[in-house]
Amino acid sequence: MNKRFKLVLAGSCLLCIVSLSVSAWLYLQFRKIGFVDTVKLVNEYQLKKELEKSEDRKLSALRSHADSLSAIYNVARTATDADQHTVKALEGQLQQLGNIFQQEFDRSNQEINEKVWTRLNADIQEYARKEGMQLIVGANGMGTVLYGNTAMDHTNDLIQFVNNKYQHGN
Amino acid sequence: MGTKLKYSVLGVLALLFCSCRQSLLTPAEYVSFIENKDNGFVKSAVIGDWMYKVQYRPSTFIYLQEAKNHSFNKETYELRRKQLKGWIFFNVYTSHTKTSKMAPLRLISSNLDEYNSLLNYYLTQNKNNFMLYTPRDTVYPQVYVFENNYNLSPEDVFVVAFHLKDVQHDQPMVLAYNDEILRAGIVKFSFTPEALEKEPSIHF
Repeated sequence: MNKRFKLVLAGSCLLCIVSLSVSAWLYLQFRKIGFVDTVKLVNEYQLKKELEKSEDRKLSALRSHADSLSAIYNVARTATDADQHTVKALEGQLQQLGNIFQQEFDRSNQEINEKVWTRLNADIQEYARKEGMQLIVGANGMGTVLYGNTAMDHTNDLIQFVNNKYQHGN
Repeated sequence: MGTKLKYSVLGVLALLFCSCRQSLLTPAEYVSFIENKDNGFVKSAVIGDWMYKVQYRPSTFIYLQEAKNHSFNKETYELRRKQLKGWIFFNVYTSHTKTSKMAPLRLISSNLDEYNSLLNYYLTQNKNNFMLYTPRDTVYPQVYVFENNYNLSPEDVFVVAFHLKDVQHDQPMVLAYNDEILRAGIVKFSFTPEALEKEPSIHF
């Protein structure tokens, strides 16, 4: 009886060890695949914030020019003895300036995106290599990843990695 | 026993003295040390297809580069160091990672007009794209030179210098370059106090 009990106990222990090993192996395999919220990653990337700040300084000159012209236009438009030709000319200038501002805004956004993604792509590859990952899926809020276990979410780790690399330089 | 103890204390003190003392190098050894990327005075980064390399140039290094004909002596050395006090100099090199025959400026220009326009930007406006961050100051360069190599070299070189009230090597420095032409964005190069404090001295 005693011998049989010992045998059962040893068998149970062995089973426990095997199942724990399999679980650990499975966990490690799953850790090799992860997802990242790309919107959050881009928005919290320090390079993007600093580039936006830098571009904003350039755009603010255009913005203040448009504001001044708009104020002049409003005065001219409401004046009782306003020359209609002048008002029309001012309206045209204001519209033109608005178009230029929009073009500059679009151009700077596109440039920032290009610069940010050039840098992020290389950094993401480095992160994946460092973490021994085989696949990182981008969850971008457009339906690519509908659900992901938080254990597979690498967003915060990756944000920390890319920002650290950017801030501390090369 | 007392004598043994005395010798031991003296030995430890000598060891401490030697480890705290900055190493003395010949001018050639000093230049090699500063140019060696493992010693923390050279930093590099690859962004897309572009390679950036930054050489921090301490005053001794500048003096030795200027006195290339080995005409250096203690007097001129001290004088030059005094003149350069408070200045932080960097050379920033840009090149293409795959093509080693042309400088970036020439590579990205599709015609002469574009080349001239970019050259003009590099000569006159690029200065404001450099910044130096220290724990105390954030400064723009006071000296900026674009070395026009007329496409004779595969890399473009910018010389930038910042003037600080007090240059302290026990604090980190970060050089930031917002590359508007090669569209790499802001590239930062960090120089740590651990590396800067190891700058050797030279003996004549």
